[in-house]
Order: sequence, then C-alpha cells, then structure tokens
Amino acid sequence: MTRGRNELVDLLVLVGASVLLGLSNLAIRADRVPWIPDLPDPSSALCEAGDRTVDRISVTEAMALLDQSRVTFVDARARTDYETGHVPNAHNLPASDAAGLLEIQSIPIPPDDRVITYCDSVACERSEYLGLLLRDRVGCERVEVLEGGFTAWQHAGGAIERGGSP
Amino acid sequence: MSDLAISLVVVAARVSIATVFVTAALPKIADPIAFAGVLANYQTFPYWSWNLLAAIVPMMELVGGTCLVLGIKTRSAAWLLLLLTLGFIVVLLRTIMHDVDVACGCFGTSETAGRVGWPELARDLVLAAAIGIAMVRVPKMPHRPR
Repeated sequence: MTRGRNELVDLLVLVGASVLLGLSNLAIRADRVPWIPDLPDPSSALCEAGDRTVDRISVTEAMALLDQSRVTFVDARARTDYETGHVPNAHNLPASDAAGLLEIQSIPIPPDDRVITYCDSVACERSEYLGLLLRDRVGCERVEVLEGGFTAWQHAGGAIERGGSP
Repeated sequence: MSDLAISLVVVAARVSIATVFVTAALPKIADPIAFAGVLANYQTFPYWSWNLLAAIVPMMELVGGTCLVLGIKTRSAAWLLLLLTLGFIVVLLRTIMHDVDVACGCFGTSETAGRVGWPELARDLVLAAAIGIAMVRVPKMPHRPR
C-alpha cells in the first residue's frame, strides 16, 4: 500500500517536472512561442473573413515591386504547391495548415514592410485570411492580397522560383 | 525462468522503451511549433491546448524515458510512459474511426510516412505490452559467498 502510494507520488513528481520543463522550453525559445496561441481559431476566423477585407494589388503592380527591398510576398498555399513554384523569395505560411498559421509570429517580417499575400486564384480565400491575420494580429501595417493569385502571376509571365525555403 | 533471465528481459525492455521515447521526444522538443501543427491536424484537441500539449507531452516522453533507462523512479517512469501510450492509442483509435487524414508526427514532423492507421496502433499496443514487462520488479540477486 505504502509502496503504491510512493509510486503515485513519484509519478506526480515526474509529471510536474515534465510540465515545468516543457513550459520553460517554450518560454526561453528565441521565437517566443506563446503557451496559448493568441491567433484566432482557423475555423472560426475563416467564417469571419468574409465580413472584412484586405486591400487588393494587381499582378502588374506586384510584379513591379518584386525586386524592392521593403516588400515581402507570403504564399498561403500548401507546402507541396509552394515547392512546385512560387514568387521568388516568398515565405510559405499554409493557411490551411495549423503549423503554418502558428509560425506566423515567428517569420521575420518588419512591421513597416509592404506585405503581399497570395494563394491559387481569384476565388481562393486563404490569402485573404492570411492577410487579415498578418494585419490585425501580427501588426503588419500594409497588407495586400494579390488579385488572381499565383495563377494570374504565372499567366502574366511573373518570375517563378522552385523548391523549398524560405 | 531464472531470476537472471527475468532481469535481462526487464532491463532489455527498459532500454528499448527508453530509446523509443527519447528518440521520439527530441525532434518534437526542438520544434514545438511543428508538433503543435501535427496535434492540430488530429482535430481532437481544442485550439488553446495545441502549444501546451506540444510542449509538455514530448517532455514527458523525455523525462520518462531518461528515468527508465537510468533506473530513477523506474516504476513511476514506466507508469508515466504507459499512461502516455494509452493516451496515444485512444487518439489513434479516434483518428482511424473518424477517417482523419493526418500524419502520425510520433517521431517529429520530418518522417515521410503517410496517414496514421492500424500499423501505428499495433506499434503502440506492442509498446504498451513492453512497458508492462519493464514494470516487473527485477529480482534481487543473492550475494555470492567469496
């Protein structure tokens, strides 16, 4: 009986130590992962996205901004689509993938950069959702959605980069 | 079975289990955000818990595995790993029953395996059985007269 009680106490000590170490691991990380995500639940936010809008930018205008230093492109498509082809130097934050959403706060976008989000096409709402998050939650001051998405970019003859990171 | 044989089997089980859990824990501890994403994709846990679970569960694996192999609070460490494994089994069963398309993420997110299914469930059942063996108290060897 006493032995069983001791084992239970030891088990609680191990659980407590794991909780402390785990929370400490989050707290001391350079990318400052919050204990509780302070981004909206993707499912609910997608529903709300229709009520608000992010500014639009045409493909022609976006292509002219490609080589400028204070402009960041963010690709909201799945990783496999991104690797097949994307706007050069675009960050990939899949809006349908929780891992991508949780990484939003750790990507190095200066708040005063001009941010352009895109996904597949005109009807794609992921770039809109991502744009809202970057503007309202991360604090990016100027966020725009690429009209027509990557499809329009390709048709317009925009530069394409293939492969992985960033 | 002799006491020596029992001891060898129990120690082998403990080392094997510790290796599995520590190996599984390290990549998840190194990249908790990626593991939080995996947990989210399971569609089982509430949104607010993703980061907390991604931080605490791998640390339980590491603490449990380390204690088990070093002989510190061995039976309690085995209980911890058994409870974790039973939890994994419940989540896997739910995932299979609801036909959720999600990668296991059991050993971090870099694995190339496809969606979770019966093989992962069988693996966890074998693991649970091995933990049961690891919980057996090692018989004390009699002192040899010099």
